[in-house]
Amino acid sequence: MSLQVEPWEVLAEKRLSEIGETLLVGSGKGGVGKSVVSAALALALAKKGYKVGLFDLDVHGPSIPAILGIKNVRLTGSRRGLEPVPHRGMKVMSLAFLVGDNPLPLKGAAKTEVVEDIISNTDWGSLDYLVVDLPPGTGDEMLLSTRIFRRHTHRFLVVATPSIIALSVVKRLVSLLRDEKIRIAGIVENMATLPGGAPHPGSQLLEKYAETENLRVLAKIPFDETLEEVLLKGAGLENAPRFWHAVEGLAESLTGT
Amino acid sequence: MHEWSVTQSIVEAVTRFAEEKGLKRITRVEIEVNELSQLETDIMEEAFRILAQGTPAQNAELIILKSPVHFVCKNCGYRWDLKEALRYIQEATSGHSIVDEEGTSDPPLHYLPMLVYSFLKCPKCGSRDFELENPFSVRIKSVEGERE
Ligand SMILES: Nc1ncnc2c1ncn2[C@@H]1O[C@H](COP(=O)(O)OP(=O)(O)OP(=O)(O)O)[C@@H](O)[C@H]1O
Ligand SMILES: [Mg+2]
Ligand SMILES: [Zn+2]
Repeated sequence: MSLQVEPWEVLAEKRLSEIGETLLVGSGKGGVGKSVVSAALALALAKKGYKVGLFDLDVHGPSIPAILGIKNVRLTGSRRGLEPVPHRGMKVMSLAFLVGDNPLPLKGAAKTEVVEDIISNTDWGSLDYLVVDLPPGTGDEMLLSTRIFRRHTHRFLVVATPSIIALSVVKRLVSLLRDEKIRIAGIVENMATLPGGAPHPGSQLLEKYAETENLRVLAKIPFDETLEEVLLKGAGLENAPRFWHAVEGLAESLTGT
Repeated sequence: MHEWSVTQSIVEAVTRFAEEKGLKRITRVEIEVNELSQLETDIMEEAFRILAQGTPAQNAELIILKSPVHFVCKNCGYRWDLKEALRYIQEATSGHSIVDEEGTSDPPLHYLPMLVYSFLKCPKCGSRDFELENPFSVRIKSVEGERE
C-alpha cells in the first residue's frame, strides 16, 4: 500500500503544534523589506517577553544572519533535530547557518526538499510566536511553506512598498492567499515615506486598495536613512529609531499589548 | 544522531497510516534513504525497534534501501557518483559540520541532503549547474499490515 502521509510532514506538524502562532512575512516582490521587518518584528516581540523564533526560509538569499549580525555560528543537533541559534532572547534558524557563504543554486525538486527538511528538522520547542521570513514571489517554496503553516494558527503579513509598480504584485498575492485560505493580518507598508521624510505619493493608492479589499494597514514604516548604517555596524535594529518605532507599533497591533 | 528524528517521523507516519486504513498491525515497512545523507542504517534499525514500541509497527520488519545518487553536469555532460562526489564534499563541508550531543560531527548534508548544491561542483568543468537523479531525502516506499 502506498502512503499519503510523508514522514517530514508528520514531523513538521508535531513541531508546529507547539507554536502559539506563526507570523508569515511575505510579499510578491523582492527587496521590499521582508527580511528587515521580520528580524525587527521578532526582536520587538522578544523584548515584550514573548518566546520567539525567527525562521529565515529564503532559499534564494538567506539574509537574516547578516541583518542581525550573527557570525561564526556552529550549529548543533540532537536526537530531536537541529537546534536554532539563540540570539538576544530569541531563537533563529537560517539556511545561511548551514551553508555559510557558499552559493545555494537550488533547483525545482531540490528546493522544495530543502524547505521541507528545514521545517521538519528545526527543533523550536515551544514558542509564543514564530516569525517566518518567506522567500520572495509565489513559487513552489513559498506555496509549500504556507501550505504547512496554514494548518496551524497563523497570520500572513503582506509587506508592500507604496510604489505603483508594487501594487499589482500585491493584488495578485492577496488573491492567491485568499484562494489558499491563508489568514491575512493586513498590509505592512514599508518605506512609506520618501528619503528625507516626505510622504510617498503612492501611499494613498495602497491605502485605498487596502480599504476596498477590507485589509488593515498594520503599520506604516518610514524610510529610515540610518538603517543601512546600523546594519553595516551590526548595531542592533533599535538604533534605527524611526524604523524601529514603527515596527514596535506593528508588534503592538499584532499582540494587542 | 539525526537517525533518531528521521526514524521517529517514519514511526509516526506509519502509525497514522495504520489508523487511517484501520490496520491493527504493521508487518513490514520499506523506506528509501538518499545515500547522500549518509544516515546509518544500523542506528535507524535500533531506533525503530525502540521508537515503535507500543505502536502498531512494533514488530514490523524494517527494510532500508539506500538509493544511489548520480550527478549529471548540465554544462559538460559529465556524470559522476557519490564516491567521486564525496572527495569534494568532504573538504567543502569541513568548516560547516554540525555537532550533536554525543560529540559527533555531521556534515549539513546529513540533515539536508539537497544542500549538496552548495558544496559540490562538476569535477570536470567546475560548474554548479548539475542535476541530481534522486532529489529527495527520505521516503516511505511501502507499508504492509493486517486488519485482524
Ligand atoms: N524602512 C526602510 N528604510 C530604509 N531602508 C530600508 C527600509 N526597509 C528596507 N530597507 C532596505 O532595503 C533593502 C531590502 O530590504 P530586505 O532585504 O529586508 O528586503 P527583502 O524583501 O527581504 O528582499 P528579498 O526579496 O531580496 O529577500 C535593505 O538594504 C534594507 O536595509
Ligand atoms: Mg529577504
Ligand atoms: Zn561539467
